[in-house]
This record gives sequence, structure tokens and C-alpha cells, in this order.
Amino acid sequence: MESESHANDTQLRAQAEQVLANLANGDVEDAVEKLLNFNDARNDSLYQQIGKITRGLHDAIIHMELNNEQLGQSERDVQARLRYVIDLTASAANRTMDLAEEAMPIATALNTEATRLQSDWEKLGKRELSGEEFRRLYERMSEFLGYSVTESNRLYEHCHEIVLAQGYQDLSGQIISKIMDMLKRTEHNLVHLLAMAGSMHSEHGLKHEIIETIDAKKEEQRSTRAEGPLPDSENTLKSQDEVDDLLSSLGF
Amino acid sequence: MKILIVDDFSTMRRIIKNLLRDLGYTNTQEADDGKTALPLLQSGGFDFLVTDWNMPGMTGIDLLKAVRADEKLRKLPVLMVTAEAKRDQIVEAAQAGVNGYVVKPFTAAALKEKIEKIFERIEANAG
Repeated sequence: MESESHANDTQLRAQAEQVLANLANGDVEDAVEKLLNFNDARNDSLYQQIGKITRGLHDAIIHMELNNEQLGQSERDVQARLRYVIDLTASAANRTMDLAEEAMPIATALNTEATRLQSDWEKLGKRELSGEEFRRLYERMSEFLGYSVTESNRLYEHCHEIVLAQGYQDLSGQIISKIMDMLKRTEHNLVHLLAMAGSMHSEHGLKHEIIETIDAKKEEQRSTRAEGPLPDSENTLKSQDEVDDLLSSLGF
Repeated sequence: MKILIVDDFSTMRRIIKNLLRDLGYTNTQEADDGKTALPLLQSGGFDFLVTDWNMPGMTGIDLLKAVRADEKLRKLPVLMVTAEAKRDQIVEAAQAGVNGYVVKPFTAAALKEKIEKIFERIEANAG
């Protein structure tokens, strides 16, 4: 780019000398035409700069992956991804609270019955129970032991489900990392854009500042590149059943 | 039964570890991407690999391919547990020789079923 602007400068100087020579010879028409050419050259350079800025902006938008119509893929939609994070975190929070709310009365009921039995059990130890009371306590104890087995299992299952519900952290984390990545690239592009616009201001417009535009396609584009969760994407299978069907069609 | 769990999110590793413990598999180790997992696997002793796909450093699919290309590891059963659910990706994983594929978010039942199926097949082949 150095040599290009140098060549431009040399050319400019040569043309300026010609204008002076034309004027010295009284050839005003030629001199005016050359001056108009200068202006055209300046305009061309401006148009080129504007073109570059437009392309840079376009690249930035593509990197932001907001331009759905162009890409024809809603999976690239940042908003859809973020909405998915909201849904995911909301449903995980609700699921966790539902499970905890279901588990608490189970624990309370076990506690209440155990407390009641405890006082009768102490009476039994002090031989304060009649034969009839003892038989009733025996029955209640059998019942309670059975109840404890099923209810403690239920409590365990609830805790297990609560653990599982925390998977949202991984999924939303993947989406947010992806979006942070997009923002970083967009910011990078916009900074380049600013540099371009800045160079337009500072120069007389004849210098061709060649600013590297970032190639939107440079990044690996294989179709199986890891993308993280993609809500509402056409190529994405919607459930484990669909995955299983596909795998069994492949001979699994 | 020694199992290696590979995922870049520690919460997910914890969940999978929890589920495996519930299924009676308590001997687990963890790695946060393919790059750290591969030397662990090569050092030996693992009977089963559970891996995510989307990880920085080395992805799960690359780890799977590296495992299948390694003379000592190539028969190691591999279960992929991932949010990547594109048709092409599942086909690629199948072609690379994955033994099971579970999409996130998953249920305990789905994971259990896949793991049991893999172990059944291993036992059938061994017997």
C-alpha cells in the first residue's frame, strides 16, 4: 500500500506540473480539464472508501449473525438464542422449585409421624402401654416403615431430578459463550470500520488506505462445526427419539 | 468399571457423575476437553468414555476420532452427551464410531438406557 500511495503522489506531482505548464502556455482549457480529472480521482477514491466501509459494515452484521434473511437460517439469530437461555433458565428454576416444594411436605409428613411414634415408643420402653395399645403401636410401626421406604425413595428421586435440572447451566453457558464470541468479532470489525472512516477524514482523499477487511468466510465453515444448542433450527433434531431413529437408520 | 467424563462445563460433569453413581458406577474421573482427556485415556485403565462435543481446545468428535485411531484405545466404548443435534453431526459421530448419542437436555432415564445398552453389547461381544 505504501508503494501504491507513493505512485499516486508521483502521478499527482507530474499532473500538477503539467497544469502549470499548460497555464504558462496559455492553454487554459487543458489546464481546467486536468483539474477536473483531479477532482474525479478524488471522488473515485472517496467512493472506494465508502464501498469499503459498507462492506465492512456488512461483514460486521454477518458476524453478528443477525442478518437472518440473507443467511436463511433462524438458528443464527442471536435473539432466538438469548430467548432460549431465558426459557431454559426459567424452566430449570421452576422445575427445581416444584421439586423442592413437592419434597418438603414429604419430609414434613415423615417427621410428623416419626415424632408421634417416638412418644408411644418411649411409653413402650417404660412399659406404660396396655396390650391393646401395644398392638395398635405395632401396626402403626409396620405401616410407618413401609411408608418410610416409599417416601424416602420419593425424596431421593426428587433430589436426583433437582441435580439433573441444573443442566441448564451448561446449555445456557454454551449459548452465551457463542454470543460473546460473535460480539468480539463484531467489535473487531467495527473498530476497523472506525479506522477506515478516520483515514477518510484525515487524508485528502487521493491516498488509497487499504485496510484489511476481515474475511467473514475465513472461519471454518464445515457443516458439523460445534455450534452449541440451536433452538428452532431446521437441521436440528428435536428430541432423543429423533436421534435414536436416525441412528437406527444408520444401523445402530 | 472406570469411566472418564469429558465436558468443559463442570456443572455438567457433576450431573453426569451423579447419574453414573446412581447407576452404580462410582469410579469416575473428569477432564475438561479432548486435549486433557486423551493423555488420561492413553495412560490406561479406562473402560468407558462419556464426552461432550462442543469444547474448546479439542472437541469431542476429534477426541472420538483420536480414540478410534489409537491402537490401544480403539475399542473403548464412547457415549456422546451433547447439545449438538444436527443431522450431519449425528451422522458424522456414527461414522466415526460412537457407541451412543444422547442429546442435551436429557433425562436420567435416557442416559441410563443408552449406558445399559452399550454395556449389554460389550458383554454380548465378550461372551
